[in-house]
Amino acid sequence: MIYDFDQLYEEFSGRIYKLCLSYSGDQLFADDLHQETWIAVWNSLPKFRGESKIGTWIYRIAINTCLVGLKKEKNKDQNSEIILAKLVHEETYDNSKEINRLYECISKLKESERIIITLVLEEKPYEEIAEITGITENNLRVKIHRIKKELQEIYTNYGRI
Amino acid sequence: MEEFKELENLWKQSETKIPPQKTNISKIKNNRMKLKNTYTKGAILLILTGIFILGLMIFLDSNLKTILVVSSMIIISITCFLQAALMLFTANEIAKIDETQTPTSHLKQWQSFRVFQKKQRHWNMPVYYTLLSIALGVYMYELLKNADLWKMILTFAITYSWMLFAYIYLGKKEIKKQDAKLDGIISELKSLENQFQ
Repeated sequence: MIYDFDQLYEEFSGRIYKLCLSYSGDQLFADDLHQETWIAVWNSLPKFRGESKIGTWIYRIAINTCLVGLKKEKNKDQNSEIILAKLVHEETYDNSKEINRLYECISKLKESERIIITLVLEEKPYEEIAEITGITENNLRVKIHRIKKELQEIYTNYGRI
Repeated sequence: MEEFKELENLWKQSETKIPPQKTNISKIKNNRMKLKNTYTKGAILLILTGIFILGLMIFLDSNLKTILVVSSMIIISITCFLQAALMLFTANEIAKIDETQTPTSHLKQWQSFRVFQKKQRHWNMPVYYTLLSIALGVYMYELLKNADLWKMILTFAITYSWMLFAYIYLGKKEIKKQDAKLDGIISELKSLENQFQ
């Protein structure tokens, strides 16, 4: 099946951008990661053989791009949670405190957990998340259960400390 | 997990400003492609240098066309072409890294590239600079054997000082920069692999 790049961009860019944003905790960095992901999609699209769903394939590229995208030195010294909280206030259309709080809580998780929980929140089936991340489904179920609990706890306790 | 449903609903409501699609996306390069292009550009420059030297050799004054001068020029060109071939091979190795695989197999590809690069570097630069130094030495000696000794010494001193500077300072500096980039990539992937286990 042949896919049209523009259509794919329209369909997936929003979700991919959210993934980049929740992974990086930095708007400028998320912009770069988002752009790099689509460059990689553009270059690899002719090689796509339909062995997995196109969405799974794009998410894999996005995750690998996030992982190899080197963080700018200045950001390494800064607290990504603070940056993310600040930027989400600026970036979200809906300025709801609750959404900002959710982004901030996600940024307190480990990097791998941010990726997994973003996919869960995007309502990806477990089978697909396993395929994207390369984790076995059983292992993933355990992890997701733990991450959900952890995120819920962080969210509930938000602002108490 | 009823409470988590609340978070899911919140997530659905969040809309972010998506950067607009760049119209010239085919012309923009990502990190891996930039790394690949460094090698490709280096190879092209070396090929052009090799061709230039062969051109010089063809149009060289017939009095200067001794066997030693011609053979040293050929050796320099061949060294340039071999180095270019190796750089193109390295660029191809980078191009083969597949970003559409799982993070674990993506990591393995970067790791095996790193192993290849370390092995190659171990012998490549010393061999390249040795061949180049010998061929250049013979070439300059042949050209300057009738000139004043001080002129010959000065030419040798300048040429070899530059080569030493390029090998010890510039070469190592570039290697350090590339290593930091690659090690950064590998360590990010490794750290995630550990978290996934």
